[in-house]
Amino acid sequence: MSQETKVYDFASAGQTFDQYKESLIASPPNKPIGIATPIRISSANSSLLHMHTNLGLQIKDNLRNMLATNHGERVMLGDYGANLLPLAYELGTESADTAAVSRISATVSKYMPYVSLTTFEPIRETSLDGALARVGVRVQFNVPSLSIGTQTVEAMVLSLG
Amino acid sequence: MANKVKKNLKAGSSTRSYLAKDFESFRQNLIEQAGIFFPDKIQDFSEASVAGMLVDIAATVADTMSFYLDHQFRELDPQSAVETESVVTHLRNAGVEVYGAAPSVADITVTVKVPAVLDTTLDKYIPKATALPIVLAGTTFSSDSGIIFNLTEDLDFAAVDVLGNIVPDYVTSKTADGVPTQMEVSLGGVAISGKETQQVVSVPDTHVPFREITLSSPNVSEILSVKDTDGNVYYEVKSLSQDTVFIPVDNTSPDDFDDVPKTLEVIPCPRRFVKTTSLSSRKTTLRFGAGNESVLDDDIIPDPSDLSLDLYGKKSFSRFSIDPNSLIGTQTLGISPRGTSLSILYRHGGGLDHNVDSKTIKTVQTLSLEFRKSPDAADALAVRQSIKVTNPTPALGAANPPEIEYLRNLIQSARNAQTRTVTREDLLARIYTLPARFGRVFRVGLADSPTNPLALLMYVISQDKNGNLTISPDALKTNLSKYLNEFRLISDAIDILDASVINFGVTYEVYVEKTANKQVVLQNINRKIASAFQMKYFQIDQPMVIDDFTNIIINTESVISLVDLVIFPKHGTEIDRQYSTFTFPFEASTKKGILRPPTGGIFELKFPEFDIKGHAI
Repeated sequence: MSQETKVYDFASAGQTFDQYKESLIASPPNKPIGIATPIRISSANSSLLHMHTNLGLQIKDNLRNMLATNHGERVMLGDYGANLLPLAYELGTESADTAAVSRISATVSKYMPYVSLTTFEPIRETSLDGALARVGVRVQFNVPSLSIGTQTVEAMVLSLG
Repeated sequence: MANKVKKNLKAGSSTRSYLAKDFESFRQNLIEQAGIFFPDKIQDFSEASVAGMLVDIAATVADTMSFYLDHQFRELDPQSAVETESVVTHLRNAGVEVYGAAPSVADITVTVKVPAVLDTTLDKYIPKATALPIVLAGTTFSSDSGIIFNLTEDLDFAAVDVLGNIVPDYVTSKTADGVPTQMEVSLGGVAISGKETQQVVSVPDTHVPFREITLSSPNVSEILSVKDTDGNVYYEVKSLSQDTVFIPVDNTSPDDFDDVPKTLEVIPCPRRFVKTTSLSSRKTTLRFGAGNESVLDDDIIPDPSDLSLDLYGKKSFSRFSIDPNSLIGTQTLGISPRGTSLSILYRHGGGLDHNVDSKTIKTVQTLSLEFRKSPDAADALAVRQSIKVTNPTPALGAANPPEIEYLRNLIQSARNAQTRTVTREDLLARIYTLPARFGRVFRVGLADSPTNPLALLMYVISQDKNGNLTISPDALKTNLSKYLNEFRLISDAIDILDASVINFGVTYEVYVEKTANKQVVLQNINRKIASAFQMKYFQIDQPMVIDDFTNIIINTESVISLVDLVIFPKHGTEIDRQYSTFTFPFEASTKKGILRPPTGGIFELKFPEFDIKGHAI
């Protein structure tokens, strides 16, 4: 008694065409990661606010915001931020810079531990009459775990108009 | 797409726990929810991100709301409430009165010296009647430590009993050539510590329902009187819906004014107030009623026709609602004073330092004194100058202001208290709390009425000055009737009856050791029986166990055996001893070794030295 049977090869196993099509829809290439700052209305139809779709930019944005945040400003996270405002008028001096590096290092290691800090540079801008106009910091960093190379971020600590 | 949303919703509802109580758990829940519902919209909820900040804000709001929700629930329970105002509300709801420092009470002895005169009838010297004063309530004394004590009731040194004898104790204080010239007359009284202050409050001529007046001094222990300029008296009540108060009136009956100095009267009090004390400041506030005095409305109870349903032209009517607030427009909750001055006399002050030692209240601070008869000016002056005071025992009862925790613990027990008599225990407690000046009931017995299922038979009995049982005076029963009537349920009836006093005697014969002194053994037995069957151990309707006598006798030292024991009734008069007129057959009423009195009966071993007789062999 003969029996006609079909033999399947596992080597041909994979996705059907419909499955493949749905996977393309479910995983768009530019998936939003987080809200970009300064917050602004998005021109695209996919979301209300402008969003980061690049992880490196998102991390850079987050780090800048954290550098600009002082202790007590964040609800329920009193120690969040680099807390550089108390050092604003002294930035540029060795002692203040040392303190700023220490504070930045501490908050980054707690809230963004995947970030590796490279260099720190204080920024002091003066007006035409020589008065202090803006104070900030410039920080270089990289994210080894995500293979993100050296990036530079600037954050304003004090602006005197 | 729709299927996807449904799938997400299903997944979200299954993971929603509603157990989050703090910031961290709320934050975690929100991130999880966002991950389920918006996976393709946003992914970065780290602390450093903007979305993380927004989630933190939402979690903070949720945490704060959760805290206050829990807080509100805690405040609903008197045991867990922490807000002072909440505790005060619980105290008020439970009927616990907040009070300040408590004053102390001292038994004092006041002594005056009056001239001695010879009573030719009695052929002895007695105090000169015209010189005997009445030291009035309100007289103040001070202790060595400066604490002020106020006399609570008049001390009538001129009081005489039914035979015309002077009631206060008196001794000859001075003799000249053997002839008494002065008598020291002493009378005991009660003084309460604290300072009396009169505060006059001007009330504007505007109607303010439930007007409140706060007294200036803290730790007010008693509001003594509140009067307005027209002489109207405002009475303190427990709640403003209480429209009657008890007042004491002098008992003028010659039969029982010795035992019951005051009769109880119930009077309406359209002008009334309630007293509250602040837990924080310990200051007392008087709150008056809502009635408008200027409106022509003198009804104590509102006119029912004002509230009745209008039936003109109707043959039927349906169920209808009545707004109890409509009663507030009348004077049912009392009159609110307006356009007058209130004179408020109150006593305040207290604390542990008011518990002064014995014999330290020695100074008469302010003396209010009058004479019933007109004495000579010299006698009156001498009497005034001779007044001395002392306290034989320490003053007791003062306490510091109660802490909030102490008051909180009173709530539970206060909930069991009530102002009406429902159970027999309620009734007994109410009777025993009748103030002593309205007569003192020694024992109360309750029994079901054989004729009325809703009625109780209440047997009462009092004690005379020797501690023997005596029929309660009629004035006391009248006072009890008026007093209980205010607390009884409308359908209850109470018949107040005299308890039957059953006097009894004991004879026994014992066989004692040959070496023992028989007289000593018998004295020991008699003393032990007399001690065990003191009046204080007996209640109305309480049976006697015959073996209690047996037990006492055979457990006395040197007693070998009890040969004979007889308990027998005693009644009528024996020589000069007056027994009860009531009797009943003891033997017939003894079953299984227990002698039961008839309903409303109480046993009394009246003269132990004569009623216990023993024989030793």
